[in-house]
This record gives sequence, structure tokens and C-alpha cells, in this order.
Amino acid sequence: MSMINGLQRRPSIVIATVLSFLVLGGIAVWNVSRQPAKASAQDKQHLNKQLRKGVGSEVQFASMPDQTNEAVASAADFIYWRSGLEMSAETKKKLAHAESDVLTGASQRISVSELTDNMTTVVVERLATLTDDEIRWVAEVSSDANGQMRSRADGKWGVLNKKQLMQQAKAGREWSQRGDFALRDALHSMLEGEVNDRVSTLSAALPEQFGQAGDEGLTPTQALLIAYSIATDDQLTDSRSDIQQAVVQQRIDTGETREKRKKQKVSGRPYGPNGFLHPSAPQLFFNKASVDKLLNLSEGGKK
Amino acid sequence: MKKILPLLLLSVAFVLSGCGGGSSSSCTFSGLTPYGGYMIFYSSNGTQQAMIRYATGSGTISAYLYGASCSSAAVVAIINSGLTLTASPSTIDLNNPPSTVTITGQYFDTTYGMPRVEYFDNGFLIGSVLATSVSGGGTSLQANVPDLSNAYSGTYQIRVSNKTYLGYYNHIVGWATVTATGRDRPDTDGDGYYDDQDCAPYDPYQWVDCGQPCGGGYGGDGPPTLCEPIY
Repeated sequence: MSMINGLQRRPSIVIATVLSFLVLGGIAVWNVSRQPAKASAQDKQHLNKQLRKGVGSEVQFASMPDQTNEAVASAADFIYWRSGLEMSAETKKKLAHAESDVLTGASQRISVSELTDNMTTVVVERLATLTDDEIRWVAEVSSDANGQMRSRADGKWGVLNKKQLMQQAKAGREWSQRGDFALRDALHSMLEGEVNDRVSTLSAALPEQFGQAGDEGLTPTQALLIAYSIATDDQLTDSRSDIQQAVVQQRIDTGETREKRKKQKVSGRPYGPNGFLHPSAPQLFFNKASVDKLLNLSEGGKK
Repeated sequence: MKKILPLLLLSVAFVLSGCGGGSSSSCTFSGLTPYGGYMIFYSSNGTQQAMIRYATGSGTISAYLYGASCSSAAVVAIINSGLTLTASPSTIDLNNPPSTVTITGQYFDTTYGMPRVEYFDNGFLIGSVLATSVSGGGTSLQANVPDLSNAYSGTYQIRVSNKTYLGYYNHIVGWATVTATGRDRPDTDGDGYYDDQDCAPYDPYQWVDCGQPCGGGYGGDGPPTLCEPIY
């Protein structure tokens, strides 16, 4: 009880958490890496295998500058198939250019702390400009058939209903508009943990692609994938065929009928708005301005 | 701040659960066989619910139970014999279905109740019946064919489960397949995707990404584009 009272004295933490539900559906995910004591070596091996079958196989990371167009296209396709989040031709072009600059040494990689800082800035700025319509839309597409919004796919970190989410979000928007430092600090700490978790896990699972990320930093495409993962609660695991098989198995496991399915609002994709594995609204976070800022694209990738 | 954040998140989750989920519960069941399959049974608003989950390597399962407390749930290990069974007839004309189907295999057991026979089409449950008889030795069973008046042509998977001493159908004996013919799945809007695959079955211009504009994504305001379904 004292902890709850303590939280009430620190409303910025509560608001930050609620707002993270809104803009970053996947906050506080990847519990396996966050709680190493509870995750067995077998769990980690299994996660690594799933990651290699997912992002490790379906995204063609570039090692040479002439591979960057293909790398960006595969990353964009990976994200689109899983969430419906579509990358414009202009952003693909800028991202490929920035990726190429990093590989030739013309510009620096994005450090983990820089990505955290950029994400924090983007989230705080985005929160401050949220419209009521956007908040309503997020509540609609991020909630499940029971009208509840889960902070994780298994609901472990808590549940809000639509009305509560909208009330909290509007209150939080005011905090953000005031430039509240406590809110920013709380968000930064949460994002720092999320980014570090992903970098650590991807480094272990895909050492050829992410092995140097902690020391040398990330390429823009890698940074984008990590930001997408945080925004959607997509762990980047499993191939398309794995996910398709999982969908059929999930129907069997839950005894789902076609009639029941028709009554549900599902998008046909595993993540993103009305996603059947974990619904979220990454479109709110990934607009043109935020992607440019997140990946330093407005500077042509140069630092 | 960083060190206490996970603790704060946990406590926030507790606060939010209390106000947002009604009597729903986020549950963690531990002490289970690593990677073992389990059925979780619980009652939600008077309706019996069941779900299948697989334990982690640490022997835990996390599950969200709507309208039920964690302590009210029964977590039962699945016994999976994994047999390939044979159904006869192996083809069903949906316009003139047989009254009964015979399934042959092993381990069909009536000790705690008749085995259950469930029909699935692409993972969707389309019918469930109890066997009407089991032969001596448990090598074959007969069951009525469920109501298939709303089912479509395709290859169905038939799952046979025994009821165990726990009172649940947690012994999966195995699977058989049958081919159903005579009633094609509808594509009402003619967009090339069956109604049950189509999130907008009456809109010929959309079959996926309902609830969001298709295309026009981040990084620009490109024109809407057609999207591919994933299934």
C-alpha cells in the first residue's frame, strides 16, 4: 500500500506509463531479457532461434554500400507485412542514403544512448500535439474484443479500458505541453531500458548484424527496427510461415469459430492497429517528422 | 530512478488492473513442466472457457483471464498421444453428409466419459460431438457427424480427445483428416479473398488493415495502396 501511495506522490511515473501505452504499445516488453534470473538458458536459446527465423532471415542487412537499397526495402517489407506500417518512397531513399553513409564511414552510427534520447524527444513532442481524435483512434484500434487495452500481449503489466486510457492521455498531454521534466525523465528511463534490452538480445541472437551495436552503435535501419519493435510490442521473432501456422494453432487452441471471428475487429496482421497478436497504433509515433528526427535523416545521416 | 523502475512498473500494473479489468486477472502459473502443454479452464460470466498454453523453459505460463480470478482456474497438463488416426468415410459431401463417421486408431477410452470428436477447418472449430460408441480395445469409435450446414469445402482436421480422471478432455489421442466437398467458400465482394479471410467482406477494395487507411504510411503522404493479407 505504501508503494501505491508513493506512486500517487509521483504522478509523473503513472502518467508516463499510461502514455507509453498510448504511443508505444510495447513498453516494458521482452521480459525475458529484463529478468535474466527468471529466464532459463533454454528460453534464451529459443528466443534467439525465433529471432534468427524472424528479423534475422527476413531482413537483408547491408554490409556494403551497394546493398543498402535492398536492405531498406526488406526492412520496410518486414515491418509492413507485420503491422501494416508503410514506408514512403522518399523515406526509403533517405534511409538507404543514410545507411550507405554509415557503411562508407561518411557518417557515424547512431549510438544506443542517442537512439534513446531521440525516441524520448519524439515521444514527448508527439504527446504534446496529440489531438482528441488521435487519442480516440488509438483507444479504438489498440483495444481488444473486450474493449480493454493490454500493455503487453499477456496483459502482465496491466490493463486499461478505453475511457480510462482517454482520460489519462488527455491529462498526460497537458503535462507534456508544459514540458514537465519529471515526465521526460520517467519516459527516458523506461525507453533506455527497452532500447538496451533489445540491443542486448539482438546482439546475442544476431552477432553478425548487431554484435557491435553496444560499442559502435546502430545503422539507421537497425535503429528503425528497434524503434518499431518498441512501438508495436513486436519482438521481431518468427518467419511469416511461422506466424501463419501460429494463427491456425491459436484458433484451434482457443476453439475459435468463423462466427466468432466475424464479430471481432481484426486487421489481418499480427501487430499494429487491430493486430491479432498485439494491437497497437505505431502510426501515431512514426510520422515523417518523427522518423527524420529519430534517425537523423533530416541531416542526411551526417553527424 | 533507473533501478527502481521495474518495481514501479509492477506497482502501476497493479493499480491499473484494479481499475481497468473488473474481475479479470493477469495470472502467472509456475512449477509446471518446462515447455509442457497445458489447458487452462475457467468460468467467465457463467460460461466455461478453455485455452491452451505452453510453459516456458522456466516452467511458467502467463495468461490473462477475462472475468475470472487466477485462483478459480484449473491448469491441467495435456497428455498428447499424437497419433495419426483414420476417418471413414474420408470424403464428405456437404450437401449429403453421412450420419456417422468411424475413426480408427488406438487408446480411445470411455472410462470417464465418451471421447470427444472435434472438426476444424483451417483452425476454425466447425463442430464438436461425443462419440456414440467405442470398440473393444479402444481401436475404433463411431460418432455422429456434427451440423456442417454452415461449413465449406476443404480439408478438415478431426481431433479426438479422451476425458480423464480429472474430468477434463486433456488427453489428445490424435488427429484424422477428411475432405469436404460441395460448398465453396463465399467471396461476397469478389475481391479474391474469402469472406472469412476478409476483414471487409462487403468492400471489394479492402481485405486487410481494416480500421486504418491502407497505405499513406510514415515518411510521407503517399497514395493509398492495396495491401496483401497474410493468410
